[in-house]
Amino acid sequence: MTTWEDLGKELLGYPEFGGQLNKNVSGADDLVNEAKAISDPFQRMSKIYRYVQKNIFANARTFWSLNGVKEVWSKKLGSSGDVNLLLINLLKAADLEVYPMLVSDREVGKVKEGYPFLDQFNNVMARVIIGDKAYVLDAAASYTPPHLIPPAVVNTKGFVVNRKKGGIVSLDDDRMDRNRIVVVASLDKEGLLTGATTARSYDYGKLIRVGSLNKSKEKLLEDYFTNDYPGIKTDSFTVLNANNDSLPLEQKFNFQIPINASAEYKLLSLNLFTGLTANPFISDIRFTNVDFGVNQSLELLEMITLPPDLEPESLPKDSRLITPGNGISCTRFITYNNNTLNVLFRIEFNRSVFEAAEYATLKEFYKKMVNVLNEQIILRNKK
Amino acid sequence: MKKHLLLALLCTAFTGAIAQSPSDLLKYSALGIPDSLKKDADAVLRLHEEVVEISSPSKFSRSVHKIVTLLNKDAASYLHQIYVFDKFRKIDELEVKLYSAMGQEIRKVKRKDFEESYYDDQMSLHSDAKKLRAYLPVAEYPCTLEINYTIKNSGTLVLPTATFQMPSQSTEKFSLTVKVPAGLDIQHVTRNSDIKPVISEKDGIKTYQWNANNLKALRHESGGYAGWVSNGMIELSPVKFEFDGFKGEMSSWKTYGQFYYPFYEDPAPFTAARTAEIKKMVASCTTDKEKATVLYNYLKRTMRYVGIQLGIGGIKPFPVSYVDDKKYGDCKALTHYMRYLLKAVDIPSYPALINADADEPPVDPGFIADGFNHVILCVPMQKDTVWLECTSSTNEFGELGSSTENKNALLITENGGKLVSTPRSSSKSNKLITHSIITVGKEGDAKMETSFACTGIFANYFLQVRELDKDEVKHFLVKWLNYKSPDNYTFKPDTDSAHLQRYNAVFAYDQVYDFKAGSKYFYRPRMNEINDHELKSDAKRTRDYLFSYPYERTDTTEYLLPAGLNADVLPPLVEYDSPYGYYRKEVTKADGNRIKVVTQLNIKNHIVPAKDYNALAEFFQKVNKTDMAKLVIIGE
Repeated sequence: MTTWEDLGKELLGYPEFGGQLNKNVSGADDLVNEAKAISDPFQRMSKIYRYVQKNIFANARTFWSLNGVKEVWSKKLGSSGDVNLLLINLLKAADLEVYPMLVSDREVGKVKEGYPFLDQFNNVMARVIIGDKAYVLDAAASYTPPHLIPPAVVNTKGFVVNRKKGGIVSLDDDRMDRNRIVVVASLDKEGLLTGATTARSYDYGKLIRVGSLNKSKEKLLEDYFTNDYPGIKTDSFTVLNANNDSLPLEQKFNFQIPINASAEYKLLSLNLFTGLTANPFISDIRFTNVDFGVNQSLELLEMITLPPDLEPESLPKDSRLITPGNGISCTRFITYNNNTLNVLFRIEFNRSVFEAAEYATLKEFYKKMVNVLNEQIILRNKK
Repeated sequence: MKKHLLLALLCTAFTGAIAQSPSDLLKYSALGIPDSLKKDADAVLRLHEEVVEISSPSKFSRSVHKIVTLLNKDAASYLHQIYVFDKFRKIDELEVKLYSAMGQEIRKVKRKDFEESYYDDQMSLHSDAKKLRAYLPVAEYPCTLEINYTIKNSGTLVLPTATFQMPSQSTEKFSLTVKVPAGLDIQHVTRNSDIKPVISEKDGIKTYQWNANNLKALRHESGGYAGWVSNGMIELSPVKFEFDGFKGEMSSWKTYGQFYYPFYEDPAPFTAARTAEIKKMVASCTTDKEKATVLYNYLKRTMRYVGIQLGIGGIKPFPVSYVDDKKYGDCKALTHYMRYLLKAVDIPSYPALINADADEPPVDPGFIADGFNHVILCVPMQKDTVWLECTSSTNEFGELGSSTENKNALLITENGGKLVSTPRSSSKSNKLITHSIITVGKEGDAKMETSFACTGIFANYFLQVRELDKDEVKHFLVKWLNYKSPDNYTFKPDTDSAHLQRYNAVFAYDQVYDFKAGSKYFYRPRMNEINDHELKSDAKRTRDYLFSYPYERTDTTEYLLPAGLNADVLPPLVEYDSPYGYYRKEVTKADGNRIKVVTQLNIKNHIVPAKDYNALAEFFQKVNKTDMAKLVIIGE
């Protein structure tokens, strides 16, 4: 049985791994020198990381260097191992404390600490130590900012490969998939809801949406705002701060949605742009854990003005649903004043992993949560 | 931007030691592209120069020089260069260069830098096709690719198509030159454009020359025929051709069929003993149709589809005896085999070449070309013609399916080829009839007993569901048939009858209503959505709209309410009728506490002309608005 220490030594001896760590990458001097001129180590790291992320491309996912870092610098294409080992070389040349770290993408499986085997890893990333903070960089992922842990490995473990400072480390991050949505709208007599939406996505919430934005603005609008709403019309969709790591992703647009009618009732749905219109859990049994990656937080605030001749027949009660252990909570507050409905939904996930044994509870909670979100306000003519 | 100003700008930007001349930079720079060509475009074809030289019926070469500027990442597919070759098609020269936005060369790949591997056509178990592949990633857009290649072909059965206009790509300069011995000549047709060739002849060589400049990108419209159908393109086809040593003519469909006929003749299909066995299978049958049905069912039961395309095997079927022994074949082999099964019992039939893709139009009867990718069997009977899909293990006898209905098929007969129409799709062939009885409990729970009866495409889908496990069946019911996800359920086949496949399901719901307010409960009209089409209005649509198939769906849902619950005002009868769709929903109250909702949705035709698209969109918008309107049930 090997130890992690033995495994690390072995790996450092391979030309396709350790052999790529102290290379002099000719042609990269300009980049390294420009970086070295930056005194702030985080900015220095970011400069090199952003350059490699933007200009060097990965065509395979492995921790091995398949082409050699020098050739990858020249051809701008290689495996993810090539790209990140090149990154490590350049960061080191810029006088940063950096180590290679083997990782296992979430979908590949958990790293088992008790089993020091290489087969459980599918990639290598750079672990950079600046002060008391450790950063995890994957230059083969096209849009992860340097201050966030790549979503594929956040809240998992990695294996730092180094003779003195090697070993298993946790890649924990408290930051969340966080979204705040504000809807200001008015309903007309014909049953058309017209309004403006501002959504702000933070941290991993921003990162996930940038993935759609990188395909196109239209894809972002479709994936997060219009797909679930047949008949919706939108205009003036703007997206701000996509390239500013310190600000949330701001998405704004105007919309019109016709509301439903049944008999003499108009039914106003309050479930606007949450992404939770149906229970995603359909299967009755599950053998694997549900792993969301990071904790989540969603807040939806709505101010909807009704036409003067309509009023809610009754208001749904304020409600709070919580899973055992407060893993997930879903809260709804509704008030009605001066012809305006004020609605607040707040959904918080305080855990990112739910064991397979908890699946039935999780599925049932989602069912109740979706029912709360989908509960509609019945509008009637004022008496 | 004026050309000389641009030149000056590029020269200023690149003072220093670079190998390219200023005019080279201008050629590859994205700066000089007119705005009109950037509109609605992800890429601009700066130059397409193609020369096709046909030296004989068995040889032609194709040289392409292309310069394309990629304006944004939606054109990134160009960066993945893939070239397919096999023993009839060899890549002689190949070079790709990548330029920056300013026209500076960034990278060059030659043939030796491409990765070679086997080509998977997603259908064949094995073929002799290979591919050359290279990926040229780029950090920033715009960028420009320059592509040069020459392909040498032995065999002129299929001549290339040159595309000069397509969605999301505009064209700055296009030229196609075809040279052919005058005695050989070619056929040609231009699609979706009126550009015509200039034709000249010199020293026994006939030259065709097409040119087109400054063509804007076509509009992208989803939901129609396959994208290429609306492209501006020039199709070429030989008059006389050779393929793997076999000669043929495409001067008419008749002569083209004469080329194929020998491939479908088998001098020794079955032994005498085997023929006797085949005759015994149908001994109790009294009509040819009955015999053909028995043999078709035998084929479905015993044979498997396996595609192996090697050389002439791409168009010549396996021998009948081989298929009989190995129990597998591809479409032409299984069709060939079925033909000889029928021949053994004196039923004539004809293999029929066809293009089998639901989103492709029928081959053009006015242009003789090899536009086929599939073979089916045509069996003329006394009163009608039966068509058999020999690769399916689930189709009913005489049922083709949406990929080969509405097409033109080339029958291969002893007198040559004959182009005929396959049956038109009919909504009456694709039916899904559901009947649900929902017994509602006092607490709002419910048990729903549902029967399904289906034909055609629906029956095919349900047959596949028989192979799924319980969890997968649930996903089918919820995701495909759009049923409200049940808390528990059972699903099983029932006895088929009256040409309908039948199934039964029982669903359990803890809460069958969607929500309540005070004493009012809001129920769905049925537990599934009958319509999943959502079309946005588009007054500028230019392409016909295509449904996968026409169909008729009928749902009857009956609520048995407990004492104390009653329907409030029932919604009025709703009926929408259009040339392409019909919708009707009626809600009635029956004896006791029974509420009945009967809904019908028919898609009458699967093709809707572009001029009628907006009316179709409005039809579905009306249906969507009213279909899932809730039933209001009042409690005490």
